[in-house]
Amino acid sequence: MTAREFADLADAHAAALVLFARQWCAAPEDVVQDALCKLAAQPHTPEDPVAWLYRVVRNRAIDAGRSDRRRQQREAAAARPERWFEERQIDGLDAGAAVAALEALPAEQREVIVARLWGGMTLEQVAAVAGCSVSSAHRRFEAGIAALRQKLGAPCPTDPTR
Amino acid sequence: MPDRPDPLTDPVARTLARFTPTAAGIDRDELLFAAGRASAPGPRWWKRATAALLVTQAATLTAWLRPAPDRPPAPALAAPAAPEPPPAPAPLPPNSYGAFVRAVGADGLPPSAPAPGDPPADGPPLTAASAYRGLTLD
Repeated sequence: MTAREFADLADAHAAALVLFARQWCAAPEDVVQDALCKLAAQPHTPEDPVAWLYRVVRNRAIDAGRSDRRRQQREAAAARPERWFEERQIDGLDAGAAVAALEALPAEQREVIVARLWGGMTLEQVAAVAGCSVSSAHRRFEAGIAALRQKLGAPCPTDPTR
Repeated sequence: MPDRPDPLTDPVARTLARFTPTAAGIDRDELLFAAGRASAPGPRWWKRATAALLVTQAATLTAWLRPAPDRPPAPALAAPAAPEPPPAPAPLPPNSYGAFVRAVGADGLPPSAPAPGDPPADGPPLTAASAYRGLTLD
């Protein structure tokens, strides 16, 4: 992998990786930077660098989340809320409400949705990262979207009565 | 953000996907610098060589400075036995030359008479040239 390819990969996926890592740990930027440095240090480029990055970020974020859970609880009151998204709202959907709805999801659904919506990954890639079957990833994604729709008060597009 | 395909039919999913995640905590320049440093092959061979040298030096010093174990005293060498005196010569007949030599000793014998043709004992040493001269003079 050339330096240009690496820079393009980092530019394209760093923000989504931070959002992905934010589900488990309090310092997602450090986790993403470590993962990108680990990718750069690989003697051979992985076959699917994006899926590889998500897998490494997931593992490291989970480990980091275990270690800083106590500190996070202690500092939760004083910590200022971090913005997850650049935009304040899109099409009337408030970013804060979206974040709250995402945070309320079970972790297994949230990671599939984040990887799918903002990582641009296929369900096969998401399943490989999450360590589940493709059908399970699909089921989690659909359940998560349904829960988000319910929490955000959006009508179901397949419901003809709405 | 990557170019995401839009297989999402749900309007909520489509709207959510339009939000751009923030990466304010990531410094791009710092990230690329750290990645470049991480990608550089580390000079590991000299670390291994240094470690090997340290181990061998430590082993050498240990073997060198360790006190020698107490060794058992070396067995005393036996003194060489005195040579046995030569056996007494066998008796010879009284009128034999051997009995005469044994009686007078080797130094007591008279000098042997020179054979005819021998060069004088007190003359010049016999050389090839003197022998040739003697032959031609005769």
